[in-house]
Amino acid sequence: MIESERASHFWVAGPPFFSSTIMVASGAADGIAGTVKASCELFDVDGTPVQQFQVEFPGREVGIIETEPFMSGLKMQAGIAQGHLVVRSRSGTTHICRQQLGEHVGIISAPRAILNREMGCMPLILGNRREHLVVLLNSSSEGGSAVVRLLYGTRSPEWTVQIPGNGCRVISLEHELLSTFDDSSWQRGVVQGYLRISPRAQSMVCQMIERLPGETEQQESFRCVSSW
Amino acid sequence: MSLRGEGVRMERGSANTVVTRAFCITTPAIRSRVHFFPSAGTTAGHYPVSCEVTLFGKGIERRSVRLEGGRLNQPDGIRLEDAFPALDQETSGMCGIEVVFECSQARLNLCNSRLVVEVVSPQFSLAYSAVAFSPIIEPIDESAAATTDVIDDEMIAIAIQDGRMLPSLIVVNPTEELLRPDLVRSVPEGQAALSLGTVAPQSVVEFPLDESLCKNAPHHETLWGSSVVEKLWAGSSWGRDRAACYVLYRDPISKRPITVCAL
Repeated sequence: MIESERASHFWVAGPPFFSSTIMVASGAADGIAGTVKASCELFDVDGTPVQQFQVEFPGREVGIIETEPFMSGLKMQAGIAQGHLVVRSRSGTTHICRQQLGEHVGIISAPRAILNREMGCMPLILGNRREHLVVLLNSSSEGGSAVVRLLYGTRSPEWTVQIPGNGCRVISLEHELLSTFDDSSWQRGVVQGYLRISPRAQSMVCQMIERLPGETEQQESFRCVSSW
Repeated sequence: MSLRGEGVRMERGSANTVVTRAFCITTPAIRSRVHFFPSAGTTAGHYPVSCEVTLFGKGIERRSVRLEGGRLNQPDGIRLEDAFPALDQETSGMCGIEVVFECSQARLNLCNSRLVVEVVSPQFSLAYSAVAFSPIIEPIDESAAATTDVIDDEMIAIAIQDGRMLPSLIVVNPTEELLRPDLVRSVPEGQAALSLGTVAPQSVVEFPLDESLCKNAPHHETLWGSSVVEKLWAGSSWGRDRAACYVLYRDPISKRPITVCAL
């Protein structure tokens, strides 16, 4: 544990379609001389610790942490080798994630955790030509659930998803959640909606990935639509 | 965050009125949507929240619309051209938006609210979260200033340039002052100034960082190829407390926007 530290919780996913790289930069006040340490702890989808490692880099540089070499022990869920990476470094440092989803590259700032009984909200476009993968990451060590409510038109179906402490889940909104709801009007045309997440756990992080199916796996495209 | 105690303007704010600033892109082929989510932490009630959206930019007359009917914890959104119908004829390119949420419940803190801007064209679509909402600040009596400290954020930007992304810095200046966003980058000898130019009042300026970054910067070999990764930082001397900054990444070949990181 680093005193007066900053901790960021990132969802990381591995090959063949995804890759995640963490960047760490120290503040101006202490970033020129000396070194900066970042300690990382990687959990699998069930919250089991898989790897723990520490990196040290010159304070004037940005630390680049490629997560792929550490991901061999991660389980697959929803067809994706994925996990929860906690990055800790001294207070005043900045963490971002370069996330490659297929051919799409995105830069994700350190996500803001949604605390118990708070709500996070992400916009999305529903339609039969796209699929949304909802990433829910439990950033606390205790297991808990998240209430996921989809608001579109006059409808607002709601589901509860269990997530183990330190674990994460990727859920297909259309195939796993909406398929259990007795309305298919969203499949006709393009419908603006919002996904509202309310954790029943100490804190959670969420992200939404849009998948546009192709005729083959190689033709599929992904992009991060939103992260909270 | 750090405390700064000298040579500062003293301000106060109430957290039931909060503001954020962002940018959007408007051309005949590119449309922008703005999504709101007024939130007050764990407060579950659906109190009325008014939302004022102000549009500004080079060649655009500053104007505002007030959206009534908003409620706490209820997301909503607008198409920018619906809110500002004359936008199409007036401008083509980047413009700034300032969004203010106000709730009559004085005890509520709306800083947890969220604004997402979506830019859509037939070729691409991009959604990003605006910088965090903060209380609207008002200057207070200077005689009181000597007794209080002001909290000041240091801005650190990480800019990445590789075969897939070209970074640029977007500065959104809603103020009536000319801003000079002088950044500092670290070099082997210490620090070096990165002078970008000026940002006119009520405007949005994009400063490409590719040339300034590549100059003398070390290249890193990564799993996805050769990259230049640099950190840039600035204090609030150029008015960052009233402006907003983003790092926008474009595709190096098509120059389409691909991702945005709020600072």
